[in-house]
Amino acid sequence: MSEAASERLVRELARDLRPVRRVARLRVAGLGAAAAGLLAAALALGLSGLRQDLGGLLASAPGFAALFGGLALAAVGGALAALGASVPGRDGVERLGLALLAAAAALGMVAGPLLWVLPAGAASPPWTRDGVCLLGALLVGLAPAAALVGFVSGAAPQRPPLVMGLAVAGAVATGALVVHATCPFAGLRHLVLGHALAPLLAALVLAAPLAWLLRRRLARSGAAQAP
Amino acid sequence: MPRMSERTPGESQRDERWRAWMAAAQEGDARAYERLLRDLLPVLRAFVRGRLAGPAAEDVVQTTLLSIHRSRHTFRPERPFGPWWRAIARHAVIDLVRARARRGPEIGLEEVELVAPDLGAELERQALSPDLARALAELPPRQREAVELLHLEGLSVAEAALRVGTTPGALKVRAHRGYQALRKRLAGSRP
Repeated sequence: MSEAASERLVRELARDLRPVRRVARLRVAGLGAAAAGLLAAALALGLSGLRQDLGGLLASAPGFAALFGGLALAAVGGALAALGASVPGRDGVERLGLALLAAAAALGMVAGPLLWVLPAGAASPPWTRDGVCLLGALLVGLAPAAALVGFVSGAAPQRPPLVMGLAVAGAVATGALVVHATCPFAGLRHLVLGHALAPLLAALVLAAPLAWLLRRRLARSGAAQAP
Repeated sequence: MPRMSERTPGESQRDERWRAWMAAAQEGDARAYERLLRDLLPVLRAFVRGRLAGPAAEDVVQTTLLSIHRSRHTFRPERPFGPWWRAIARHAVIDLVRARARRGPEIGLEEVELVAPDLGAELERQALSPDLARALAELPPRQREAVELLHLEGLSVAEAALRVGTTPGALKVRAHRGYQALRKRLAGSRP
């Protein structure tokens, strides 16, 4: 395409330019998602209560504690990475989020072997309980996910599947953290399947359909913005 | 040699000017927007040509202009303008490199037209012929739209891409496939 076509495009774009509403500041969007997550967590904790031996487990079972820390890092990291990747030029925020996610993954790797040395009697419950905890993590993660996905949809993510995956992983990690603090079971299989993998599974399942919806929305708004 | 993060006073003034123009453009000031894009265009072109050679560079320049237009609501006036537009341009370059790796070199408009050497004339000759109307109607909607905008409405690739809300590269691919399908159908419908 020629340089003259680029000049014509500039004229086209400027003609009939319409005012736009700016996206919220990242800080505001992040605080909104955090508030939604805290509200959902408070509600869940109010309904089910913290597990009674939480303090003891965090102090005496390093695998359990590493998983706890990993989920907390994943919650913050996923949210930051999704927010940073939604707005051009905020690579620093995205990189910080990705670094936290990498740290969360590293803690998860460390937690795996450490979980073998859980206190005696920490057997895994029936398989159905894994599903209950996954569902719980998803439900608690709904509110922060809605806040994050809402912001991302109104911004300009360059890689919709990745951004949606990050947003969902961060939000569901919040839910998994609450589940981890409330679930009365501590068996190895249950902690891995029902708690640790919840953010990853949710991101794998939900990122593609959410990205598809986002692409449709962006295509529609792109066409609507055409002069 | 100055580091990337160290800007000359001239560059700082220019970024400040662009920031103010973009803020005005977000309020709907078309003159400020046109001045911004005109001022930015040579800098953007140099940025892209520093990373890409060949005619595809101008495609990326236009794709970046479209992305800037579509993402203009994400610019915050309290932040510098430079990192914002450079991130958009960088992604446009990366997208092109990835697309090339996925489906081979980008199709140029000239190549699109070479797919069916006589198709342009035939489209004009048969503007209202039942065969052409039927062949067009049978095309998938996106391919039909691309062919109609480029050949029947006479828009440039960038203008057509802007109209349908896609990138110039994607529009060319749609048109390319549409021309191939049309050519096959028109050839099949002849006695």
